[in-house]
Amino acid sequence: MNSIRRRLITSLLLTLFGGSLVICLSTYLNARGEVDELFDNNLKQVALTLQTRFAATGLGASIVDVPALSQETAIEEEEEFAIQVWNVGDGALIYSSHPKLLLPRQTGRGFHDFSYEGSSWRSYVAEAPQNVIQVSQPMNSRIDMMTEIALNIMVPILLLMPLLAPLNWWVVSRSLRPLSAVSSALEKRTPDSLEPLSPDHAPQEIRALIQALNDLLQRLQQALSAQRRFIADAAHELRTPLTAVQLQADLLERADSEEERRTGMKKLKSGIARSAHLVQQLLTLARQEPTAAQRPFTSVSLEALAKVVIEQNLPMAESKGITLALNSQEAVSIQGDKDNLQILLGNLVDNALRYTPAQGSVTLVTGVENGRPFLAVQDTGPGIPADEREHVFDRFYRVEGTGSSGTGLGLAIAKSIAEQHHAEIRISEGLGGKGTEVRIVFA
Amino acid sequence: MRILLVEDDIMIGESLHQALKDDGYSVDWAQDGEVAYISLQSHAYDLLLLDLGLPRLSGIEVLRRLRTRGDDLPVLILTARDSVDDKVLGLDSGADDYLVKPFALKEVEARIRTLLRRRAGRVQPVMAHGGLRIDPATHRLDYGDKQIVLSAKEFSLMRALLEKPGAIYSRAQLEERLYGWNEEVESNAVEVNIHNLRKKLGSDVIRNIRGVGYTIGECA
Repeated sequence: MNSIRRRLITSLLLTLFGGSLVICLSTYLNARGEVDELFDNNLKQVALTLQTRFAATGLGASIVDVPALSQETAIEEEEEFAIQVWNVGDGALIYSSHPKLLLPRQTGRGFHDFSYEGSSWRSYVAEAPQNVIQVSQPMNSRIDMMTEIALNIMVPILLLMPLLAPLNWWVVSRSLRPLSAVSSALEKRTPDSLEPLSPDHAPQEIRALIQALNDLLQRLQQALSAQRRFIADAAHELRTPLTAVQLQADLLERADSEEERRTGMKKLKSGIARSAHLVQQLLTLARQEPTAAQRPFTSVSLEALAKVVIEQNLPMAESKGITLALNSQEAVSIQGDKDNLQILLGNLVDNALRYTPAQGSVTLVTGVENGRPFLAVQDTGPGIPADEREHVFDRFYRVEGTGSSGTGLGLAIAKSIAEQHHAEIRISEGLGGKGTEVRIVFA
Repeated sequence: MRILLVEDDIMIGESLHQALKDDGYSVDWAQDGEVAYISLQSHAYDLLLLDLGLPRLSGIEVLRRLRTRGDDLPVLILTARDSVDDKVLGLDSGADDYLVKPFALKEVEARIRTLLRRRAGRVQPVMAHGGLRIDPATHRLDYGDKQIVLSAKEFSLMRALLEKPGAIYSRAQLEERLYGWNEEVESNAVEVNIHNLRKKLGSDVIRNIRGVGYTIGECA
């Protein structure tokens, strides 16, 4: 399982342990240097003191009377040295502090390392006019001391580790407590209560998380209330066509001549068609919601798209006596959702045909504007007053006094599809300041 | 009976207009608030059917202006706004009744009859005068123990005359009650219909006061 707590504790302990190891090692190496220097100094000091003595007395044989310091065959004490003195003249060993230790004579002044009976030794050789003095010590002494130092350093640290582990656990758990506070606060949120989390008392790192969550909650709340508003609006808007259908049906029921029945049936059918159209538009709009699944974009030729839409709307245009035409300024293709673009353009053309009086014209224009492909629908209708242009994209908004039975959703759908394609949608006067032009400019 | 219908939706307006005309009312249909208010100032109506969501001038505003002017015209609101607050606002602004869309034709008609009955100060749904009995709901007219079949126009005329027995109505007033805006008024329609009614009910049922107009007679 992926757990911050476990990861924190493990890495903290590992870091602590690794750090301790490095400290121990470096302290040990440092200490070893110091110990070497100390022991070497001692060796040299003893040798030089003896050298001074011999140089002063000038005698070689007189020290033979001095008794040996020890009869041991090994040196046990740290501060113990093996001292040997040779006569320069005949090379005879004239003194040995440990007669049972037959350490070989080293040539040349200064320090020497050598082996004797399987163990390492170090010696310092000093020369007086008639004598050679060799002071020796086994390396063991040094190693013992170093080991002792190393143990002194490491044992407390190693002993501390088991104590540090629970402390670590406690500190980490305590530091993670704000996180569990956030999650339990989030658990209390429901779609009906999406109030923001309080960032007070939260640590800086969590505060950023809370901020992000609050932003999300706010957007969620907006989306939800937009959805609720939409459903309420939709239900309200459905009342009008349903009332019409109800009244048309009531009238049809009362018809007492074949003529009246035919007219009544025709009206009822158009009322049903209108309700069906509204439901269709509502569904289309719901499918355009940003949360809805999107089909992948393909290459769409704007000219071909315009031709399909013109074909679909030709019967309505002809029945109203409106000229429907295409003005393709430049062949251009864009990446988009073909079906949705068809709905978008279809809605624009449907709107234009609805509001344009007979003998007028509706023209589709495709081309490129400042390097950006565009689609436009121009009509010779009454136009949209400038102060209403920003509202026409609102759901269920209808321009007053037009007397048309539109759903008020066509442009809302167009806008939402344009947004899906990151396209700009603009409304202006048509050619020569008359009518309306709706233009979709793609990125 | 002349009714002003204010409704911006063409389909609903057409159907209501048709149905009320068939019921024998004369109906004027206004499609926005401005036109509605101007009509209210220039014509005498017996009832106002008012939608609230109207272009140009809202239904509530039309109602407020009407009441501010001191007009006691019965008003029935027909609207898609169904919240309690909307209903309270509508009634408190001076409406006499409030009907939420969608509604059945029968219900609007019944409510219209109720409002007209109350306006005439009657409690009985059936209008009676002497041996004449007329039921606005079924368009049935009984004279004595005979049931008489009337055309829509004849029924409207009888209903108008029976509204306030004793009152005298000029030919123009009766024409107003018989025809809406867009209806061609036949030059002698009132005379023709009265002639027919007299043939069906007897000549003394409707009296002609020379130089003034018509009134309902003593019908024993």
